Amino acid sequence: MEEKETETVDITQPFLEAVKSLTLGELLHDPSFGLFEAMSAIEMMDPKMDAGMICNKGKRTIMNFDQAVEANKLKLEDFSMKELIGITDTTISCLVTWLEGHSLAQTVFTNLYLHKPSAIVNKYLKAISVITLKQVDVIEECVSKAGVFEEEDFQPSVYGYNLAAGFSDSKASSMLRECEDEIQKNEKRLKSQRSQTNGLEAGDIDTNTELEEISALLARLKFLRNLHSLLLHVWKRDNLNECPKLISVCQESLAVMQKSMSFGLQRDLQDTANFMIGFELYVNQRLLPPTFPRSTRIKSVDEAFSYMDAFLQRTKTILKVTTIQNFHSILEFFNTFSESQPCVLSRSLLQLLYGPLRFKKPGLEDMIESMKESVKTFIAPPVLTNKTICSQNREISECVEMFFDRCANPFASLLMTCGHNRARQRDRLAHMLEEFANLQYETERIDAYIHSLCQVDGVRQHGNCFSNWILYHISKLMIRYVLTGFELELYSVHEFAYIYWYLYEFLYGWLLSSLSRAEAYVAEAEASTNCEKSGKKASKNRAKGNKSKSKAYTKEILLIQAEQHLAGGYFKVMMGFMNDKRLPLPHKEFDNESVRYRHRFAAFASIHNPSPVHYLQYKSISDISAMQPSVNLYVAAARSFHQARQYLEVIPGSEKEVAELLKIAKTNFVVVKLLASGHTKESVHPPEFDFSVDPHFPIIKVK
Amino acid sequence: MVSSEENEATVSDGIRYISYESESQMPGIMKLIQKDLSEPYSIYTYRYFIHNWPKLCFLAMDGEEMVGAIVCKLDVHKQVNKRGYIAMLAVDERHRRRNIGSTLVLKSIRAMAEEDADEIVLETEITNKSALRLYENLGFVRDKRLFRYYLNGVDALRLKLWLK
Ligand SMILES: CC(C)(COP(=O)(O)OP(=O)(O)OC[C@H]1O[C@@H](n2cnc3c(N)ncnc32)[C@H](O)[C@@H]1OP(=O)(O)O)[C@@H](O)C(=O)NCCC(=O)NCCS
Repeated sequence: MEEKETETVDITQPFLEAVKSLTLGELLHDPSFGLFEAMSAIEMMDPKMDAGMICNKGKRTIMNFDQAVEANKLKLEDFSMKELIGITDTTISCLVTWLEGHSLAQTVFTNLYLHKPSAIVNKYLKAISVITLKQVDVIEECVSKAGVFEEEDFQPSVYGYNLAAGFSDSKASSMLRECEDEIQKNEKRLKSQRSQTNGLEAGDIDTNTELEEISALLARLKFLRNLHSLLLHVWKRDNLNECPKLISVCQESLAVMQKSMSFGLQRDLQDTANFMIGFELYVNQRLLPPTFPRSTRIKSVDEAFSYMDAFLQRTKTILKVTTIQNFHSILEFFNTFSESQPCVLSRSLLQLLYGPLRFKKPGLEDMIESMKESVKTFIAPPVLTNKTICSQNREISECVEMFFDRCANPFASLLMTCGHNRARQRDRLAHMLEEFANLQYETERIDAYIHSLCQVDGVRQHGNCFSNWILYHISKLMIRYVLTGFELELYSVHEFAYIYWYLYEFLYGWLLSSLSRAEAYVAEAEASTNCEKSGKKASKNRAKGNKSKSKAYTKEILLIQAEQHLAGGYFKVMMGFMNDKRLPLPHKEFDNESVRYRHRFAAFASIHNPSPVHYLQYKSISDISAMQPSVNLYVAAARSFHQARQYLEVIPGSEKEVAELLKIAKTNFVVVKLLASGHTKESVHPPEFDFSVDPHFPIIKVK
Repeated sequence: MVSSEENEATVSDGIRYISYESESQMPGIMKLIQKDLSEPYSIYTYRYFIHNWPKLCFLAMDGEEMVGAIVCKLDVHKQVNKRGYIAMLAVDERHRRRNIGSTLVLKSIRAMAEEDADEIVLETEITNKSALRLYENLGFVRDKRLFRYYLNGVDALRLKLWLK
């Protein structure tokens, strides 16, 4: 870094003089000096606070690329295989550390070779350096564009470093390919040498190691090149059908890399000055904001490779989104993927593959089309199933278009919401509920209008088809909002009762009634097509489609019913525990359940249909329970868990989710039975709730 | 019902609880709190809180020795509600599990409630089991999870006690 000529003046004395006019504790400050300023203020030169001081600790001078080369401290050629492997593995570790939310300055750019790759003489290292920069470039673009990160997820700043702008993507790729070819030739030569000497010479062991090192390096080059290419394909959203192949090449290479980690030069974790050839951990210390030094521990190679392994697996998963047609399935896909708590990069890639708010391919128009299809299969609105209605009445068709246009934004935002990290999602879901409440309000009007326009002989009633579809989604959102609270470990045990009560008595119920209303509409539609059938020729395909759809319905309904009864089971057990005084309750003085309840469900306040359930309703139920013998409550809970089990057992197929819920229902049934028989009644241990099998429905444990 | 007790010393279990009085107590407070923090605070942070809300800073004294301290603030949040914030709490290691921490928290909640606070919040690491237990015992609940909130990359929780 070049430093400008500046004149340094010692102000110690004048400062100490001036300070004398202040009394003890007095602070001279700007009127706008608030908490933020106070918290980020540092005491200069205090090594615990002043990031710049790290450079001044110790005698060691921190050198940048040019300085290090000048001082003969950074070699540019004559690398051993061991060194190349070590540098590459450390670079990948830095990349992964960056992807976990640290700054580039403290991760990737601690590798001095990346500051000036064109100056590197060794062609392998040069290619590795260039492709790494290219990867940083495309990753930064992907994540920034997708826009589903927060400051804790990802730091996009490249601190003005050049990301190998002088090399095109294809150039970078061909540089690696050249190296790979050369290495492969070498490998062949060595192998033929070995077979000539027949494996009897003393040099044989050397050749073996050499061969192994060669294939270790080769795997790394392949990995880097294919990973880059994979990212580029997703970024450009072209030739996506190439991706699975790229992923499997990456996976194969990674497997070799994982077995050959020990061939690389190992990091010195004790001595930061000799961390790894070419790395200077503090080289960018002055680029960091002058706040407290954020500690950055570079991931171990093992951790980094495992990350990559999982990342490739995730990428494989998200590519499936491109084959989904049904909009409900897309929503479900986003949801399920998000539940696995994926990394910021894979979350971003998914948005690139399906992010109609930001990207054109597929864009909002495509999304609207698939929404129409989904609504059609969900509830069969006459205006969608019967083409003639719309073609005969322009006003109707305009209303329908208006409805879907109006839906596009909230639903597309919902997809984006799923892209954020789980902790942030909860807040965003609350916000989505407001948006959906507005949408619902307008939908009710649109429904009424369409309904009035459709009063034609021989046409099914429109009723409130669209509103029912919206209600279905709102109920799902509300359930999700409540459930994420479990997942993020937000609820205290003494709150479980009203949380599960709300789920059991209302949320799942609303969802189920929207589904059964939809089912009724669909049945009506089928009946009317059957009527037509007797007149005209019926299409066989249609009938088949409907049948398979109602099967999917059944499964969804059964699962919801099972979850509803699980929730009911917990509510009743909690009531029993409460009666038996087995739950630790908060200190009386500031304990106020009604206030807590109101705030916990505050996010539902914006929704008018179904309207939020008041605390008093819960209170009256829990008061009634309090008057019952606990045994009755445990018996009732056992019945609920048993019912849940019955629903789960008739779900066809053998999905993991179902099997897990089944295990929970069965175990809890047994535990609750024991409780009903008076088992552990005198226990002083509070019950425990084990969420390890499922994040929302715990296994109850009593001692 | 309103008592003026907050400004006077109270004694319980041999520990005297007093309100903050002067800058001369500052070094003691800083020493006590600094010890358990994963990230350091500059003196400006302490002064920001204590000078603006001296009545919301309480100290626990064992004789002349300061063995516990709590530092809070109270102001209007997002123009709608009056939010109390517990910025710092520490009890000397040798005096823990004697209810000192809880007493300090209760004293400051009372002081803030008296000034019409709607809610009281604070952040703590998800790994800080003793602090979590202490606050949850007093009726605080976990309002939010803050992903990788601290410098060391650990998740934090925002705890809240709703008074209204
Ligand atoms: C958190 C802290 C202030 C608690 O102070 P304390 O005076 O020991 O707390 P109390 O004696 O009032 O404890 C109250 C309850 O909290 C829980 N608790 C406190 N320390 C605990 C521990 N080490 N393990 C488990 N529970 C604990 C207990 O339920 C305890 O009640 P009990 O003793 O009747 O079982 C103290 O441990 C401390 O200074 N920690 C370091 C600083 C810190 O973490 N501050 C909070 C950041 S916001």
